[in-house]
Amino acid sequence: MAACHSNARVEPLLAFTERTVDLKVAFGETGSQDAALTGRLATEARLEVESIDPPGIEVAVLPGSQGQPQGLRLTLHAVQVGRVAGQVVVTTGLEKPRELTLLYSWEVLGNITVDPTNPFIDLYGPGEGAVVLTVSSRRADFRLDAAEVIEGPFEATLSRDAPAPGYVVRVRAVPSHIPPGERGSLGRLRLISNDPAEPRKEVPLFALGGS
Amino acid sequence: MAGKVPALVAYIISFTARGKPGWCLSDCNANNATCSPASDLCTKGADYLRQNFTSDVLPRYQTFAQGFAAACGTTRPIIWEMEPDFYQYYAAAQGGGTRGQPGGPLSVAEAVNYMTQMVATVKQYLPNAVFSMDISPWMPSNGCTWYPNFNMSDFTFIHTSGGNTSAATAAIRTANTMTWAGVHAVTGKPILADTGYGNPPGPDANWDSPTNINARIADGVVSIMQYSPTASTWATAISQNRPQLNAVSCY
Repeated sequence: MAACHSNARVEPLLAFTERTVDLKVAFGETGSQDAALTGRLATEARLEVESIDPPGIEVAVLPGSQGQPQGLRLTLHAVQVGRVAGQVVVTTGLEKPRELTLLYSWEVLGNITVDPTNPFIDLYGPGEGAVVLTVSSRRADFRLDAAEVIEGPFEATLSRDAPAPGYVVRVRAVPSHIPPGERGSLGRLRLISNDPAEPRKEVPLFALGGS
Repeated sequence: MAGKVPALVAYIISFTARGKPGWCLSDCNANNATCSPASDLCTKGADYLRQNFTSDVLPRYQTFAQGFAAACGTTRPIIWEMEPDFYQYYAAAQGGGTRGQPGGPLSVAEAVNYMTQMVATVKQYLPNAVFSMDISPWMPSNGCTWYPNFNMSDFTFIHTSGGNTSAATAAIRTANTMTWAGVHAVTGKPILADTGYGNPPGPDANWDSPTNINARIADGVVSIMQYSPTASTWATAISQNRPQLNAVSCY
């Protein structure tokens, strides 16, 4: 009995060389990344940007030259700390595929680290429902001036963590501020500091349980 | 419902893929009789997601989020447990692309991108939502090469799903190496243990044992969900168990 093995390589009609464009940019700086077209129809496509969702980045069509296909250049001006993901949709000028979608993300790293990032307080247990946050920074001159609850039935107290180069924020749920029968409470903590990227950093709070 | 905190399991990719004409993707272990055995989420889920994320998946998230906002308002907390088995689109033996598209499993960057967009869509309509990230217990090394890629500040909790989770052992499922304590340590997140629905469905008496529950509390579990508990005994089980449970840590 003879066996026949074959391998096939499937070439797409039209696609971007990168499935995602991921921009990582330091706060205050500008970064760009390109994605070129590939596939059998790559040199025939004429791209136009149809939508950028969510907005916040710049997208430019790179002209093709000398038989090379067009591409896209994504640019981010890093004015806000955070992570965002979205997609750019372009029309191709072709019958099929009429559109292409390129996934993108951007990340602007901040200096401040809050641990835990999403404080959770259990209200069923005995004793006082409280959680301790540590706040630190990559910057040697970091100074945390205040930690204040701006929303929800919580209280916060700030102290300096003497053994470590950081601060301690103790957040507790205030049972008397929780309406009777309410089983979940949301809140927000604001950290006020001299950090240039996040001088007013907000942290979500969540408490669950209670009578 | 006054004062209660709704918690929902958003198994949206799977259900849209199941019903989509031309796809018919079953769960990987469900052997859906209406689908070819090869047409399941482990073999074509990534391809489905790439080709239908914008047209099907994301709009469904938008519809549900808008619906909950209309029904429950936008100030009460609501817990969204995101996409059970999400890891399968990255790690399973995903096949080649169809309809002229390149195939293969999702890259980490793609998986992160899709998850981030789904969470952002819900947040847009439900700023009061609190999110939980899937635990797929078959991940190696307690997910230490998976979770750090995601923006974990989007998530307050992590959760199991699909039943068959073990109350009596350190491992989440005895067939897998992941442990309750291990995935809790990797993520730093408290665990919502979904213990019941799936295959086989129904309440799991092991999760009614205070000894077992206290062992899991020590591992980072802060909540359990039983599927269809016996109505005549459930209230008694809760009232008898509660005084025997240890305090849950705050995270």
